[in-house]
Amino acid sequence: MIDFLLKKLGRDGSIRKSKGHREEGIFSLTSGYITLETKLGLTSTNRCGICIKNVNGTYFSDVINEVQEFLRISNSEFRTEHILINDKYGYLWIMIRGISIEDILVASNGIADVITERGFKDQMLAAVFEFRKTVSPNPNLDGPQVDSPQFLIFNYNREKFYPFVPLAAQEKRRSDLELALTSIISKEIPWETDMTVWYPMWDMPFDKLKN
Amino acid sequence: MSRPWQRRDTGLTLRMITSFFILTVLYLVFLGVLVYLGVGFIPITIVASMLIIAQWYFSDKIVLWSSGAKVVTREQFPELHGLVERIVARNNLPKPKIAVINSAIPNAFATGKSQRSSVVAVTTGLMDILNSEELEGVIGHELTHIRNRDVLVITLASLFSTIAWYLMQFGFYGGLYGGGMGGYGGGRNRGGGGGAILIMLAVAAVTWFVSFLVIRAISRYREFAADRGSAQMTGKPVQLANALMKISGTMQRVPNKDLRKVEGLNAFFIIPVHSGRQTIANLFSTHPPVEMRVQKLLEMEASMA
Repeated sequence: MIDFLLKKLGRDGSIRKSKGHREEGIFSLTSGYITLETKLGLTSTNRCGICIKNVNGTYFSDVINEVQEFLRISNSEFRTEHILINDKYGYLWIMIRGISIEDILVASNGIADVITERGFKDQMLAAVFEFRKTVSPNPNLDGPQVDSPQFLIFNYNREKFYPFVPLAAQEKRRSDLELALTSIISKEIPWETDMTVWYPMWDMPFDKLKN
Repeated sequence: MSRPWQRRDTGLTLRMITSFFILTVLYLVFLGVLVYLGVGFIPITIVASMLIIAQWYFSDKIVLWSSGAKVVTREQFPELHGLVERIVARNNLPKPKIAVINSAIPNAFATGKSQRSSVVAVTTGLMDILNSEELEGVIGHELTHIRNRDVLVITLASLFSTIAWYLMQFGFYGGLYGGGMGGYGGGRNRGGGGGAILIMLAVAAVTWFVSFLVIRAISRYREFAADRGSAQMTGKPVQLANALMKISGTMQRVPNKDLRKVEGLNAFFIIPVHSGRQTIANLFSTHPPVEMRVQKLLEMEASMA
């Protein structure tokens, strides 16, 4: 098993090259985040959450153990921390924090690989990446919640990103900020153009990751 | 759960179309009577041009009257006045009159013969659902219509179709009665012209239909231009995009239900049915589809950032 994990890790950069098109999807953020930073003043908090539909049974928990093992091994190379959270919807969240956005992209990609190879690809719902506004190059877009997090949700089923900017604690959305995100980045990363499937994810356990 | 602003604003459009339709029918009947009475070509042309000029002159009054818009003072709507003043001051435009329509359906329009006499009208429903930045976007759109003299453009475009219509009619009468401008005795001698009249009607209908489509196409183009103008005036295209989505009810299509709940119900795998691009409907509409306008506004936003 460790052999397999080490193979997954590969040596510098080899992971990226061995990816299928799904992983290309998430990896598009390696250049996309620069655009978000320069054009919208949004920086990655280097935190992400992978949302997986829970399955009862030992085989699935073995896979999750394997994922954790992978994260532990990769820790030395990708500098990530992680925790597992079960939410009220019956989903398992693997919350990851890294030093740079590349850390969490490589880690989430590795997780997806492990889960896919063990046959649980369809259980993976979404990977969520968190951003926050630091400086504002465009003060016009600043609403009352300048500091509230903005998310890019990657839907594994449709292999596309869409924006999600919740209005703090109200189960409402800042659609103007979501449109601003769309205008800036929809050409650079695989983008969900059908707004009817921009499903929100309320109360994500990002606060469970200590800063 | 259907909120008033989700419905299409057919009421206002219908009222205005009906008003102008009735006016047009009145003109045609009136001119028809003149022709029947045997009035000559030149007097009829003069009367027709006077009617068109009168309609042009009173167009804003007719529009305001038919839409039920009331011009409001700064004391009645201080915030609305302040908002318009900020935009016109920034862009060095004359301040239009401001009118409000008491309707829950969000809508806005601009009318006026010149920049000075122009009126911007908004419904109370529009002010209810939009925040001030979105409202600025909509006002900027209407102010661009005024700055671009779109009322004049559309009136001129309609005028050509009207003139074409009359020319054709007189051409046929001329042909029917052996030429000349005279037309004396036009009321008699009507037998035997049935086929010609049918052809005349058909040609008139085609002329009208083609000019109708052309006017619609011009109008759609002016809408894009007004969106662009608004984006330049406010510097916030995304706010107008937001307003357009709210007004059209497209915003409702961005779901509020959690992805995890939806996935649980398996509803996620239902592929949303897109009713195709209704190109035929687009041909007839005065406004381009909201999706297209939002798309263009987002492109502007991206280029501004």
